[in-house]
Order: sequence, then structure tokens, then C-alpha cells
Amino acid sequence: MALAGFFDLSILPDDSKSTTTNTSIIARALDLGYSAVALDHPHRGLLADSHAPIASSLLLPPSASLHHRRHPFLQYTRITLSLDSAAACASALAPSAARLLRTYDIVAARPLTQAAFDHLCQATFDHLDIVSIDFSHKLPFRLKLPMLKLALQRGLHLEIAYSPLIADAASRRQAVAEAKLLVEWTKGKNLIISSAAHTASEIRGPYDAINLSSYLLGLSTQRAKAALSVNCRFDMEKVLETMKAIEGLTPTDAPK
Amino acid sequence: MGEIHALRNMDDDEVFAYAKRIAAPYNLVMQTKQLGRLPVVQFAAGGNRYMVMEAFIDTAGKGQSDPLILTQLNSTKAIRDSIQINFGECGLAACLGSLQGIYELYSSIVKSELCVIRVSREDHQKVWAAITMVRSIGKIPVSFNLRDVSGSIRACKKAALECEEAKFEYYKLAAGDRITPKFVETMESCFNKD
Repeated sequence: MALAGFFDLSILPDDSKSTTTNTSIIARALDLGYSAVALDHPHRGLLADSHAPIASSLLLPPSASLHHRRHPFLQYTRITLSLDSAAACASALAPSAARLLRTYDIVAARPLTQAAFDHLCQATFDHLDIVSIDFSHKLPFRLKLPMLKLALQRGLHLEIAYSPLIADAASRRQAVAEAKLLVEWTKGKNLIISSAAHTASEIRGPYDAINLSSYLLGLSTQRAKAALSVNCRFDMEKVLETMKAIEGLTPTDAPK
Repeated sequence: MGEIHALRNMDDDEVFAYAKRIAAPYNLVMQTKQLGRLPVVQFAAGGNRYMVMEAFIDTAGKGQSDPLILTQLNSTKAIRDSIQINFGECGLAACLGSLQGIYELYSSIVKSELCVIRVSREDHQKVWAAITMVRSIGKIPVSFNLRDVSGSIRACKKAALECEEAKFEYYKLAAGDRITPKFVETMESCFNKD
């Protein structure tokens, strides 16, 4: 079952605010042509049972029915663990945490120090899908080519968020400088591009994001397109069965 | 090219004789005289890209008394400013010659914020990136989404029309029972006319 479509794997809903802002982000993603999104919960520190994702996905606006899709619009849950040391990596991603990590569809790790980054690239973690680096501020560590090579060999995907490119001048400068380096060294492979959007106005359409990444970061258009579609699909293999199961359902039904 | 120049200064009788002399159909020669150039279709490889952009206006603020009306003036200004901020003076200057906001007359009873931008083929990625990076017009948050890019104005007219029709569907859905059948008829005749 070929899922053609674009994914936005990092939408940051604000759980403290009312659900209208969150619904508006989803509505915008739908309007712009994405097939699926992942609602991200950034987390720092140890995971506890209280951090399990709330199972309800946000309701789709009535305009969802207007988009003639072969597959319903899906919402995945994601957690991004901010890790500031090798020990933190080891404990957060240990097999003992597996039970909690499995409740999320996608698990991402964000290294904050050199040691954390190196450890993520070198050690093998079963549940880790994405290594996400926050490019909006000056990186506190250096990207090293041998580490990146190791990470790519093990099939980890590296995420670049495009919201710093749209935000103010300072974050744009940092983001282009550092992300360009990442793109060069990975040769554009195994990359995932996502929005990291807090509000609906920060999301851009898939083709706009492709052109932006391609023109500013030196990624080829083909690889950029893959970074928004095919590469995201890798993580979804485990939920492809879910999609087969819900094939007959209307778009407003929640997955699972 | 000199011949076309000479052709433009000829009388109709002379044109007829000329057409006979060069063994060309009379109507084609007349067309050339009127157009001032050869009557061929403009190819996409040569020239311009026409981008159909949809604008999302985020009316988030409280007490916003002035809703933004997207006009050719304020949207092209926002695009030019974005090019200048992101790509500098020379970046802007290089594409300024070919950059043009073009508006076709679609009756915007449905508040559809569409604009068409013409830019040269070599600059279109740069301008497109700059448009993507636009965050606001004046104080109001705005974001753009590309609907279609093509090499001819005809193709982009088609894309813009499809976009307007889709937006009309949304409007119907949102308005529900409030719209009368007459209104629907009026809109549909506008679409068919264009």
C-alpha cells in the first residue's frame, strides 16, 4: 500500500492553552496538503508514568471532508527527549523505559551537549527514531562527520526544523549556517524536515518547505521532497497495519 | 527584424504584394504586422514563471479593527521587502526587473486571497523562498502557500480558477444554510465566465 503524501512530524501543541489554537494548527496542516502530522511533546528529564500521551487526537474541522483523500488524515504522537549527557541518554532510552516510550508513535532525542550527541550516534537504541537538533540557537556542540556517518549507518534519521528559517533574523542565521553543514555531510540522506510550529502561522505548505530547504540549505529538490515524505514513512511502518485497519473509516475517526 | 520593421510601415496593398513575394499566407503577415513580432506561442524555456500564491491571513489579534485587504500593492511590497531582508540589495535588484504582481479579475465575493506573481525563471526559486519567509504584512500575520507554478499565464489562470472554486466549496460548507440558491448561481456564472 503506497502512501503518497507529505508528513509534518513536529507540531508543538500547547497543552495549557485551549484546544482552539491546537485545532487551528491541524486545520492549517490539512489545508496545506499534509497527509499526516505528529504532535510533539518536548520533554526533559526522566519519564514518568504521568507523561504518557493523552490518547485523544484532535478533532478534525468539518472542512476535512472536502479534501478528497485516499487515506484519512492521521495524527501521530511523538516525544522529544532533551538529553544533556551520555548518562541521561542511557537512562532515558534504556530498555526499562521502553514500556513508556512505546506508548508514543515516534521517539526523538535532542542532544544538548557534545557528549550526548556522540553517545546518541554511537550507541544502539531500539526505540529511537529521530535525532533532532535545535538549530534556532547557536549549537553548544560540534557536528562531527564520523559521528554522523555512524548514525546514518544505523538508520537514524536527522531532523531539521524549518521554523527557525522563518522566524527572526538571528535564528535564521544560525539555522542556515548549521543546517547547511548537516546537509553537506549527510549528502541529504536520512533527513527529515518538519515545521516545529507552535501556531498555525508557522506552518508552510509541503512544496514551499521543499523549495526553502532546497534553496537555502543546498539540498537537492528530490532529497528535500523525500525528507518530507518517504523518509518519514520509515517510522510509520509499524503503524501501516493500523492504517490498513482503519481504511474503511471516515476521516474524523481517531486512529488506533 | 528589419523586415518586420519595414512591414509595419507598409500599406495594406503593399502587405498583400509582400506576402505574395515571400510566399507566406496573407493573414499571417497581417498578424505579424499588427503584433510587431512573429505570431508564435511563447515557450516556457525562455522566460518567466508565474506563481499562483494563496495567502492565509491570521486574524489572531484582539481589537483588530482593520482587517487586512490583500491588494497588489501591499503584497508585492511585502515580497520585495522579504527579498531585500533575506537576499540583500543586489538580490532584490537582480530580480526587480522581472518581478511583477499580476492580478486577474476574479470576482472576489468569496474572500479568496490569491495573487499571481511573475518572475524570471532564473530567479523564481529565490523569490519563492522569500515569499515563504514572509511572516506579516504591516502588523497582521500572513503566510503564503504556493498553489501552482507554470510557464504561461494561461496555465496559471486555470490553476487560480480551480483554487477559487475550491475556496467557494469551503465557503458553502461554512455558511451552511445561510446562502440562497441565487447566490450560488451568481458565483457559478462568474466562474464560467472567467
